[in-house]
Amino acid sequence: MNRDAREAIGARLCPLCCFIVPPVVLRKYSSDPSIPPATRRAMQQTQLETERLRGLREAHRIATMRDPQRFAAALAPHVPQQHLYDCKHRRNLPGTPVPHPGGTFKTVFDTTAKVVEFYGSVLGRNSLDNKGFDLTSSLHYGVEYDNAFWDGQQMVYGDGDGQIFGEMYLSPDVIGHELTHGVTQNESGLRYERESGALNESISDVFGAVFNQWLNKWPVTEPRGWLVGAGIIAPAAKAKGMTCLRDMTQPSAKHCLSPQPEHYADLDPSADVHENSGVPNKAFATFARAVGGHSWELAAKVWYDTCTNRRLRSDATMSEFAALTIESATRLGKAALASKCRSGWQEVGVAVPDD
Amino acid sequence: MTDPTHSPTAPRSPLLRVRIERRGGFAGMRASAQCECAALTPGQRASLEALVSRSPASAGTGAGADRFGFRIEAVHEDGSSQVIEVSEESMPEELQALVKPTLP
Repeated sequence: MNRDAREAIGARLCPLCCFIVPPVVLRKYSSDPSIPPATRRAMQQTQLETERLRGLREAHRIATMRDPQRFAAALAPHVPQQHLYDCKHRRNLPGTPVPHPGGTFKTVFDTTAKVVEFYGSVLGRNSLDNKGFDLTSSLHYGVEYDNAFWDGQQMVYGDGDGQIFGEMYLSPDVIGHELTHGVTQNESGLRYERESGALNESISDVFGAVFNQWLNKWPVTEPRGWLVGAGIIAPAAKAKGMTCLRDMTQPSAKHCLSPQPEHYADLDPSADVHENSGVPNKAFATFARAVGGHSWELAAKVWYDTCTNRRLRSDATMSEFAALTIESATRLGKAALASKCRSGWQEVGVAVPDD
Repeated sequence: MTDPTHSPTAPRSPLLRVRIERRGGFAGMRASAQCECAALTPGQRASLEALVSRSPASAGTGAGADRFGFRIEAVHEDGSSQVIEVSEESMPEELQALVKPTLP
């Protein structure tokens, strides 16, 4: 080997940049005494590194042949996993893991999976954060606990007192409602007080109800599709004629365990967010029923667009939210849809921009 | 809000009666309880005294959604009273148990 050739090899060879050189060449010249020791060492290292990477590539090739799904998933969007826990009537969260959900745990698992499917197939969303957020649900929280909530990280369900409320997860719309709080937290982050809080609540009622309608394939004309919490009303409340917590089409009706004002002028600004959510609930129900068909096909997409297009402020008023829904309706369905959306808000007395 | 005539550093006279109002929760139903402090269990009484002796008018903001919120109005034997707002996380369980929803 002449000097020019040796210099050329010495200049080119380094452990990081000469994988293109065949191993046989590396092996041959790494033991050539006419090449400087530093260059020979570099060639040896390069050869070892090349062999190591070749081994890794081969291991990967074999593994993907044996278990292609696993390797496809590493590159695909994360599929949300579910984790269930049993609080065993205590209030420590999340509780004891339930690795193989059966009975009521399976009911929650299955309904939660359906909510994920609803958000995915109808609204094109991958779980709460649109990145496949894993879903954690804790059951049997507290003793006769009359509530279900989203704690900022997970869903929590009580068993109810058995007289007024039954087990909180028995209404699919309740599970849809709680998960939607997670969606809102990841999108507009509507503040949980005053009008923005009532909107936050209403959005959970809206998507909880639309999910229930989708699950049961109910058209907008089915009255049961607009009831919130119909499945958690226990015997003593039923005996008094209660059929639900809230009715989105008639929030002040006598069959509601938690009746609400129906008109914006009747709202007490300092009232609980669950009391004032009836106004935007009725606006949506009025709009969806005017559109007709299935609420998830168009009306819910208008609301979802407003909730996720990043224009909704966290301190939005009902009037600001209404104006954004009319813009979304215009974008998704032109003037005819926007007109129905505007009428829905006018029905409950929320000020909207002129036609 | 503590009553303006009472200095926050002076010891309070014993509790006479308490009214607890619960709001919020997924159902959004109001529920309340009123009782003489003499009728409370020693545990409930201790929890209540600890809660009202802390000066802030509200304890905890409450994360997430659909949690309960509590408003406690405590009347002392000397006639003074104080009102505090307490989030569900900061409200002792034995005091939460006093409040039951009632049918309309």
